[in-house]
Amino acid sequence: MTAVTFIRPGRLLVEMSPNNLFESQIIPVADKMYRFALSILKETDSAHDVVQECLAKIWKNRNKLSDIQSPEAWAMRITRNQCYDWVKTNRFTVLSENESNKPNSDQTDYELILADQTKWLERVLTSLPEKHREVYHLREVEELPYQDIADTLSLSLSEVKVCLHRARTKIRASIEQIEAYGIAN
Amino acid sequence: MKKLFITITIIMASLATYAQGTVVNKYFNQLADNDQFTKVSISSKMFSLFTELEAGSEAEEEFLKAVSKLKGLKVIASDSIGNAAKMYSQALKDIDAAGYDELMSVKDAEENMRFSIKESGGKIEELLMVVGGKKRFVLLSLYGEIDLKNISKIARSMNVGGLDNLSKIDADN
Amino acid sequence: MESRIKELQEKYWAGESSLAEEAELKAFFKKNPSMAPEGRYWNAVLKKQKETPDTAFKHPNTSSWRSKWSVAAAITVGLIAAILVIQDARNQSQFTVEDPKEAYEITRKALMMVSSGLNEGKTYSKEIANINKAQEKVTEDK
Repeated sequence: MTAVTFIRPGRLLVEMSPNNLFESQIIPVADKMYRFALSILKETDSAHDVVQECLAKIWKNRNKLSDIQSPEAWAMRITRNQCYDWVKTNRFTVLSENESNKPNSDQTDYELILADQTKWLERVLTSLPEKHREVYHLREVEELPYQDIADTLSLSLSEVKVCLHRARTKIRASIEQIEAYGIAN
Repeated sequence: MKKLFITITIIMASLATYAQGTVVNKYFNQLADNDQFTKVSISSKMFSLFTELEAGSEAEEEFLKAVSKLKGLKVIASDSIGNAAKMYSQALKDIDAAGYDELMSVKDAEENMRFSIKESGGKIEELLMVVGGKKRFVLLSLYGEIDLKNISKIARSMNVGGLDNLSKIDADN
Repeated sequence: MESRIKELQEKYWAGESSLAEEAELKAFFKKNPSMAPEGRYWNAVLKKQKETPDTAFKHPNTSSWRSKWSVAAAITVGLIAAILVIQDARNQSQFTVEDPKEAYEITRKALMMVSSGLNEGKTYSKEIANINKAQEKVTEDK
């Protein structure tokens, strides 16, 4: 299955078969795809199902993998599309499930960050626009370069930077508020 | 995983119905090597050949009419087995377990007889006749489109003398 | 060291940090977990990074028939079904009558038997009906 091509004398490029590409480029990204899906859907089972579907889709199109510059960004992009398709078809279930998953809104940020910092971050992120949240997730959690984020979300580089900056500013504002509250107490 | 379960369930279900619809086939398989039993199977292809034979009497006409709608006939019979009564009661159990409905049973001093049917959408798909005597056992299956009235007419028209009063009974039903 | 982290933090919040610098920050907070609000923030990010699905993803190559065992099971069931069907067909064909004349005679006899059996049943039920009627009559007469 493995073909060896000489590009220029002295340099060897090993062209991987689509199956090998899938194993080496996509399988390791599956958990990232899952977290990204989870950040959009907020529901572990649906995220798992969606990613499983994405993997099947990519597997079917594995012949295209050799032409794709950043398979990771491609996989994330497919995941995102699949998530929004899922949301479209299950609109009502998503709404009702998100309702129950919302952190207790009676708690102040200060109380929440002490009780459960993950939930606090989740609450701050929920207040962000969708685009900002997605950029933030891809950068902070998945550590994707700006270019890959731009490719995944079909944004320009500067848009990505702006979104990320706004998201961070919002988080920082919440942290500062908590600090001030803590001191005041 | 879901798909797999569905597939297995379908296979199991089809196996179950396969086993169900064919009590006669079960007996054919069981008694395949037993020479005490006469086993006969006639296919619908044969039936279509009958219609080419000339229908003479009224009786034959009724007979051909009944046959034309059949898909098959299977008979397992023996006149000389010791455990005929036991086989009869076992056959009734098998027939009930396979989901057939009892049409009628006749008992007299010498022989027991039972008719069972399998219906689908209001139509009779299979008629099973079991006979159990002292040494006689018969299991007969007719399948295809079965018209009981039509079939019961055959004996009457063939045996006009002896069964004359039966026509009257049918008339007031 | 402290000043380096401060500098990185500032860059981070200003949106000017590189991936490498962000990794450095994360590594620092991983090593020195802090209960201060910002420390808790980094804690939450680190935790988010560790999220994995409860069940591993199945390779799409085998997604429709998930495991070797299920394939084996399905094949076995299919094989049993095939054997039963083949055996059945063989047994049936063994007894299939090939001669039209013979078939005609057998069918005639068989249908006669069924037909007279059905009629016999009818006489019986008729008789039973008559008995019931007679009984009714007797009770009415009383």
